[in-house]
Amino acid sequence: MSTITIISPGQLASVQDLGRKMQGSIGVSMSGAADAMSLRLGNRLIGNHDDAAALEMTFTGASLRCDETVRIILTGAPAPQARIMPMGTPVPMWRPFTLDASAELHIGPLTSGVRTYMCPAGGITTPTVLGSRSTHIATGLGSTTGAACAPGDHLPIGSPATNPSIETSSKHLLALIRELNRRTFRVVRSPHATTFSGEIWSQFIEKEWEISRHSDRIGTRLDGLHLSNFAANMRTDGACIGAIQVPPNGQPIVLGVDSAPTGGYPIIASVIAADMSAFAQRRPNEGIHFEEITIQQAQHVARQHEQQLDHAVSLHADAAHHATSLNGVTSIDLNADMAERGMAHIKEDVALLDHVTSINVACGQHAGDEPTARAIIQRALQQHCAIGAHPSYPDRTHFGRKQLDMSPAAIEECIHKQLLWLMRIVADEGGSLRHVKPHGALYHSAHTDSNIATAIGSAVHRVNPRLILIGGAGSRALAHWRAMRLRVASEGFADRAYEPDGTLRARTHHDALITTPSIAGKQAASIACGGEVRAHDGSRVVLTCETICIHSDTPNALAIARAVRSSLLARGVHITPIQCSHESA
Amino acid sequence: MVDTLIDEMNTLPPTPQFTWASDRALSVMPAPEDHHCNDASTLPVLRTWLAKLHHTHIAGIVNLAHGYSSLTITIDPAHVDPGYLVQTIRCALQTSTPSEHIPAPQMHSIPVCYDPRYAPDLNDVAQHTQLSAAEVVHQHTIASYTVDFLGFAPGFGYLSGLPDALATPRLNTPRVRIPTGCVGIGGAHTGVYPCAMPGGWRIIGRSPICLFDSSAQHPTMLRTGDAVRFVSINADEFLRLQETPSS
Repeated sequence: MSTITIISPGQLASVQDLGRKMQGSIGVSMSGAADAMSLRLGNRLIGNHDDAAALEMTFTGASLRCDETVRIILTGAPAPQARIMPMGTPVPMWRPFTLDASAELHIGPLTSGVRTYMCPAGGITTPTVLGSRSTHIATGLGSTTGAACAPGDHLPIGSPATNPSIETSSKHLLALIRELNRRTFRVVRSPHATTFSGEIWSQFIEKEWEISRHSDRIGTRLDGLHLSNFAANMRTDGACIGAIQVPPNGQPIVLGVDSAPTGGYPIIASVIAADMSAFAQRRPNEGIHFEEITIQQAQHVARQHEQQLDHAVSLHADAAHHATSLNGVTSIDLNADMAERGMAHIKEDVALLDHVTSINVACGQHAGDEPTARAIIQRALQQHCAIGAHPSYPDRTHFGRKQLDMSPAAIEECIHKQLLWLMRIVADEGGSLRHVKPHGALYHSAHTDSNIATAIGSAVHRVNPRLILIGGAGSRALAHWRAMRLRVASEGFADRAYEPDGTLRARTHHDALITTPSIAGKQAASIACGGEVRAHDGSRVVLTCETICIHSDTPNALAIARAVRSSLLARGVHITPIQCSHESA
Repeated sequence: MVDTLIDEMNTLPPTPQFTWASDRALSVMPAPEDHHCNDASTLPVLRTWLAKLHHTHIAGIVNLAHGYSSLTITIDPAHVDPGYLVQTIRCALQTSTPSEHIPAPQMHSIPVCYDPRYAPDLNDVAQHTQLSAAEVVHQHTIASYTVDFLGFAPGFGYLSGLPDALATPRLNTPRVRIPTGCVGIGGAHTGVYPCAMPGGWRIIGRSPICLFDSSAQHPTMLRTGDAVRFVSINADEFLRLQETPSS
């Protein structure tokens, strides 16, 4: 692990990620990068996850060195005098560069903005406190040394993602960078606005305000006018970042990332979420205006802004095509293995059908039988679920979870037979087979043994070359099948724990299965929306998936399916059968 | 008959009423038509709702804050359909929750040293309230307080129950740094600063115990609904109890 040493922190430097979530009700501020857009762009451009921690510097940049060669990007306010010493080589903004072990980076003064982010590849990996590495400057919460960075501080750096594939569109990137110069900030009127007269509201909207020098991460004070209101004494209630409070002296304060989760002053309006990054870059004495929009417009702007970010820079961790994005909407498939426990458990299988969009039907070799397969296929067709085959090693004793010593040719024959068996049943019921997902040991050995992957691919190709083959995200089997010009989809698991290398945690470990519905729901949302999971040790694993599996035999399967579905829907994810966007020819 | 009806009405769960405070802030409060709007009836409802939302892990919610009249739910408007999210939250709030998710209130006795070396503003409070310093301490320690909710600073409890006679305005110029554990009076409120930070309350004593530990499973000593009393200790006891000099 490499370490960055702060030689000089500049005026104020602190470690920030995207902030501390869900701690407001114990009095903890969110903190995080004041200009979250610059942090997220920097992270994506250097191959980090959006939430990786970086150094936020204010007015003047830091001087630093690293004990090993490190890739770095500077984003946010321009640092025109940034140099690598001793050679004095200028370094660009918004473009990654290399800092050698023997060299020093002197960032120098910042212009036309307030905050610059130094994002190292791998991110700063100081310990997390209450789920975040962000520093709350006033209390020092989150910092290892007590508050802002000081000379001599050591900041550990994580290992960079291996071969990240970064897609950028300079048109969209430039638009987002230009957006940071915004001087007119869109606001939504607060429900407290009734405590201000109409005349005061007009003054607020028409006035050119000036950013006060008495501003920090807690709040930005505005000079220009003192606004009188009818209710200076309100009772304490929650207050969000962006809210414009008017204390008794009438000087408005725009609440910043370090502001307390509660406040007692009336709020006249709130700067919309999408404009807060640009607001955090306005310097003292700069003039700004406000412009009123509706809540619905503001929420629409937030979604558009996010899409623009995705267009500007998107990160793919491996060659696998990532989360299908149709018309800007993230969509994902939910699949479950079915008919593995016979007619005795058919009710449980049927109940799961309400929550998934694809099913994988056992083909009789590790489990399953014709009546159960038929029953579940009938119901699945009624509910417009996509139907797939779930072939396995012929081993009912070990439920197909043990690797058998079979030749690739024997494996191919065995799978071919299973697919034909199921295709006949599906056809009988008036449907057609859409995908194939190998079961258990076969699924795993396709990753480790290319001959087995080939055998599976050949069997599928023989019955129907248009079938979609499902494999684990990041699995070598996927690359193999793609090379065979087969259609593939990568799969993640909502109810299985991951190893830091992205493989599934073996079932022999007590924590291999996720049985708490809310945790499975969170993991699914993290896969679908963030393209990553937390491994069992807490480290981040990048995982790009088109489908998420929910096991039907996990304790609590139904509750898990429900939680996964609602968690995805709540994030606006479209749940739909696999959209195979990468046909080979 | 009427009594039974009233009892039933009182046991009905209050309907949540939602208001968008901004594009990312959703406030929820008990609907006024079926609810008495006072702290005694509102705070327990908000406390139950807060526990439910923490327990449900609804995606798209990034923060929760408790206040006197409402809960403020911070959402991520870039990633969720706000209309759908409100539906999801409404469902979660109206689903009954097993009682174990709402911790039973506890009683805390917080030792406080009111010795002048830890109480820079005790004389000002005495002067303002026209009581002796000893009487201020006496009144502060005989009262019983309730944690209405947490906010403002990590582990800081908003306490109700300060005797009216002790109410004293905040300092005109806040202090740049108030050490951990300082006990202050600000207007009609009293409270303990759980960590070193700037502040404008009148400091009348200091507690040696730690109210916030970010590494603990439950980082805060106080929880919403808990009862609090202050117990006077002398300077020697203060130093002995101050096991972990965190500031």
